[in-house]
Amino acid sequence: MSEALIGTVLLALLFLLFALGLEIAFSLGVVGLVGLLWLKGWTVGLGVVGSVAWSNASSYSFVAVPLFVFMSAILLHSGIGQSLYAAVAQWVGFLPGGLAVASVAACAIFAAVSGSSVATAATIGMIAIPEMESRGYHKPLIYGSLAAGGTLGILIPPSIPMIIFGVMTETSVGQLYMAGILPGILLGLLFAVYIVGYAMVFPERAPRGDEARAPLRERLRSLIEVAPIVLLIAVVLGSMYLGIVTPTEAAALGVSVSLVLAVTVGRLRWAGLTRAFHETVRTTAFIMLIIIFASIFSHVIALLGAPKALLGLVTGLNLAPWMVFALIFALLIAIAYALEELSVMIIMLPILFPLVTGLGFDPVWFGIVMIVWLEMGFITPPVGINLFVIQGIARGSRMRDIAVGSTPFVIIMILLVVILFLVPDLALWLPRRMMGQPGG
Amino acid sequence: MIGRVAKAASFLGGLATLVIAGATTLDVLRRYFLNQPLLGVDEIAGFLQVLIVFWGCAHAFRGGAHIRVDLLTSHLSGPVRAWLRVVTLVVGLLLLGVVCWVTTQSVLTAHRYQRVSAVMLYPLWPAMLFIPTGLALMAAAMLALLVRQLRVALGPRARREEVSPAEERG
Repeated sequence: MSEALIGTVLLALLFLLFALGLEIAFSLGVVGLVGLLWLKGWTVGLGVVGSVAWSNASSYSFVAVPLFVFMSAILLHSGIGQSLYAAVAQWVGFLPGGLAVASVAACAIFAAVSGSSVATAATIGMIAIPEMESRGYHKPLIYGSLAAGGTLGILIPPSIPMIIFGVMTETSVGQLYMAGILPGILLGLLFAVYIVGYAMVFPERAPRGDEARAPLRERLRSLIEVAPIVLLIAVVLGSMYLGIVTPTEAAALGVSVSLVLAVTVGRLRWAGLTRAFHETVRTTAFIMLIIIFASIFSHVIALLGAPKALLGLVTGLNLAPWMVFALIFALLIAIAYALEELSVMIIMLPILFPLVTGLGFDPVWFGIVMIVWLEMGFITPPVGINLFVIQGIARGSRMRDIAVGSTPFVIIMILLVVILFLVPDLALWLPRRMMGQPGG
Repeated sequence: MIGRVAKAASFLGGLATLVIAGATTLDVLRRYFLNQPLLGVDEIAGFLQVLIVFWGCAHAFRGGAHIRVDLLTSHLSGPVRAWLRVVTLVVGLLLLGVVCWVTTQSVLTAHRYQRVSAVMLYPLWPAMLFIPTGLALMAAAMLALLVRQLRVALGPRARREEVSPAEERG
């Protein structure tokens, strides 16, 4: 049987198992196992399964995943970061739609200590949503700004999906982190510009308050409240930027400093810590199990020579690289509306990465584009995780309001991808200036 | 019973994360300030991560963390969904059975040939043992769910529905 036919049968089996409702990780495992036994026989095939499970689960580079998940969970349960919103609101509250701008700005700053969009949206949302609701802000604006602002958590470093992208594609996680900073800041600014414009067109949907009247002394005092966050940013990002530590070590430092802050300044107690334990293990187990079984699946894909064949096929079409990229991105956007994106990224990377880099695109740049795509997926129904986070926090909120409010932000994210395409240096300039990076 | 063991295993995974963070922080501080790194921290961290991932699987499963695509199944009737879940649980258990068996063989081989880590020469088999034991615990949780799912699927037609993994307590 030809390799193309085997590949088609295996892909059909994968989609069948997905459709039947088997866990995504298990679906990948079953198809990977069948493929290996088919192509390599019982002894070699099973040997691959054992070694892939061990090498992925014990990979030191992946250790940054549980550490950053743990750090986000500690910050969430300790309440550190919640004072950020009030402080930021004092500075930008005078703008039209000021409280929603403050939500995005607080999310952007919190993103610099959180690797997760869920933790970012939840931490800031818990304070910002009641505040904006009591002011009479339009509900879709409230929910959209927080759902979208939360996604900055994975574009502005640290970022758990960037670790996964980096380790899976052998791209430097440190460089990815640095590459995410400027696009992350720009995206936050674009969100803010949209909110200000929206509030100017519909002033009744974002009623003004008395933030503008806060005296300078009060505003300066509010900065003391955010000192723990600033310290954490300095420890996690500063140490990495200076080349003193690897991303995994930065994550460990972040956990240690967050724990000290959470117990002293914050309100983390034993119950919160055990919740953080279970959340960390749960998220890590879910992500790593998919990665392990997807690695077995991608082993089969590589054995079939699929990435090379696809690249040959695409280059044979004589399309300009930008057209191929646009087609791939359009396909990804369609997928974002249907499936859980992190799993899709893990499954598709072994095929997409060689294709896109083979067309001449930079690996780090592609990593940033994939992260922006993930952000879109997190706020698109029916499976966008941030939509559910906001629904969980905002009691009585309707999913329709959250999804409608998030839609303009999806369009802004697409705009960012276009900007990244036209100006790749927006992502690539900072990594080039990074000091002696110790590597992945 | 399975629930309690799974929760305890997950808690140990959380403790392991704490140990990794503490040891790695100590390593960085000693390296930066005293130029005396703690050797072997990265290897221990890798071993502990195996514990976090595999001993955490069962509790994550019971919490519904291992996501599934429900785009199509959500449109089916309750009885069809109930039987479909029986099928997918059996398929999942078969996969876990094979992977458990394979990884147990890997542990035995590593023990027999005294395989060790690259730098500190730690024996690998104790850390490798986290994989089959964790998967076996997850398989037990799945088996318990399969039994409940079968009961519901064979029960009164009106109540035939997919069972949530989180419903069982204890």
